[in-house]
Amino acid sequence: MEWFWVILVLLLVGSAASLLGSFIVLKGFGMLGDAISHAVLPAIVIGYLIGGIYDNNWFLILSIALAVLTSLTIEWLYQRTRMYPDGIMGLIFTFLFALGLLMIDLWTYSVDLDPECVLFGEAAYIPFSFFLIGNALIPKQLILSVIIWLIILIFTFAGYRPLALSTFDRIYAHSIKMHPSLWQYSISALVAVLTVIAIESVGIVLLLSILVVPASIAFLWAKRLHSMIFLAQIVNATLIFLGLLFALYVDIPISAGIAILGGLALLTITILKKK
Amino acid sequence: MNQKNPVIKVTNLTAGYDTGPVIWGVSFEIPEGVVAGIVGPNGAGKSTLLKVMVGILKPHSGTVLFWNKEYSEVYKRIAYVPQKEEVDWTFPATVYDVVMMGRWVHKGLWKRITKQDKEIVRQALETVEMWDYRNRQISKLSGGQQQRVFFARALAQDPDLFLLDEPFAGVDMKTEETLLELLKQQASKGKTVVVVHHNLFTAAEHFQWLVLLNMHVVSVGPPEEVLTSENIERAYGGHLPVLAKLSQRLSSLREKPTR
Repeated sequence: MEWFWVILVLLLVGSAASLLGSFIVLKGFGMLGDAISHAVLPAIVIGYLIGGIYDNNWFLILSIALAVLTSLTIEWLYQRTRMYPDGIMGLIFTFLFALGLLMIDLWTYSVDLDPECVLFGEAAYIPFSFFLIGNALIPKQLILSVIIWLIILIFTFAGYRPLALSTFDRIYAHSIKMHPSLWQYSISALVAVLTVIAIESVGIVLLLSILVVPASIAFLWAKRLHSMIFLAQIVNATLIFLGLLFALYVDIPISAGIAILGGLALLTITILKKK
Repeated sequence: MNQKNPVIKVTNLTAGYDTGPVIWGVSFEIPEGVVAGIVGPNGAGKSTLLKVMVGILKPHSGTVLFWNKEYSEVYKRIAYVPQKEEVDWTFPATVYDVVMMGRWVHKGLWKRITKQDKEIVRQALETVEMWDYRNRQISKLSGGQQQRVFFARALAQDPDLFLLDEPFAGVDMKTEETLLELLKQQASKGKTVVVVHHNLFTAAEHFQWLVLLNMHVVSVGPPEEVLTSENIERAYGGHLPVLAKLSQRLSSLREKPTR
């Protein structure tokens, strides 16, 4: 039964990530998840200061708040300046990450908090293998995953037209009052929330991989946006099943197995695909 | 032409970016049923003006009215065609998909695409001679074909006013001719076409109304009135040999009555 939950959570988070992934890959925002996962460090420190090391809810609430704030700031800078997305993301996440390190040094020194724990989430975010298989914690992860998956699914379907048009041709979208900024901000905010939830449930490496790999593979094959989104879903499910088997076979963490397979798949397809 | 109600009435418009205004106190009118050009040197604020008109940039002051109404009331009747460099042509979409986007302004988020919409899209594609390319991925189009697709999207919107930003930049001669012909066709149907354009020769030859701009409005009216050597010198600053040639050609145009 535990394996059923594990696979279900993986599929839900993966499905949500590859839905948003299609849009952020097209926009050149592939590293958004990466940036956010680093930028939430100050929230984790504050969460620790408020609730102590075992109080998960503060970590989650504050991390989501900071993650959304970060992603909106990145989007705001992108829309306002002529800077490239990678420059903006590099700037924001190193700043917040360093701020988090400073806070650890200043405020948690006396309580003997191991920076390693905070950095890699060993204590706060229990390693995913135990997390997923452990009986008691499964329901919470599953509920969170279902909620975020449903929100992102409805968002993508209901907003398909403005999402497509604001990604392809912002200016025209603006001229026909489709409010492209609003939709682009929403994508960023949802990536932020998904990233924080995924850190807890499936691990950050897997999320970053699923956010980029299925959408990129689909982009290489698909001629149209809706087929790219659909194809990314199939690639996602395939990667998760094969990656899971691979991870079990060679006895490595599930997230690593899926991420490795994803990377290999993208590499192979890029080489094999005719221009 | 002046007596009729203008389609566009711009009054005392000052607009630009955070660093300061690009266009200053711009006022002009554009009558119905013409192909009008907004012309002027590089950096004159032509594209900025167009972006302010369609609400992408907020003006510092001044007003823009279409049929005496605010843009937000009539935007469905206005098709804006951005410069084709503004979009990423590697986006996964076919020619057909992009032209269908022209219908979305009437459909909102939910309304379904009907047979009639498909018929309008087919006609738009046939008009620009791109129907045979409908299933082609847009990354595999030439510059001229991209511009045709953009114009077809505007046609699919079925507007009364077209606003085109540099539609002839980076397109082949054939496409330029075809597009010019199509724009005139639209004007002869009573629609109004406004083209941001930098080539005074084509402007003099093909447009019936001009707004000569260089941050301020230098002159507005029919080409033979606007493109005097005095106005051109004021707009372009100084005497350029190519402009002397232009005014020569214009005076010969003025002598012959236009078709």
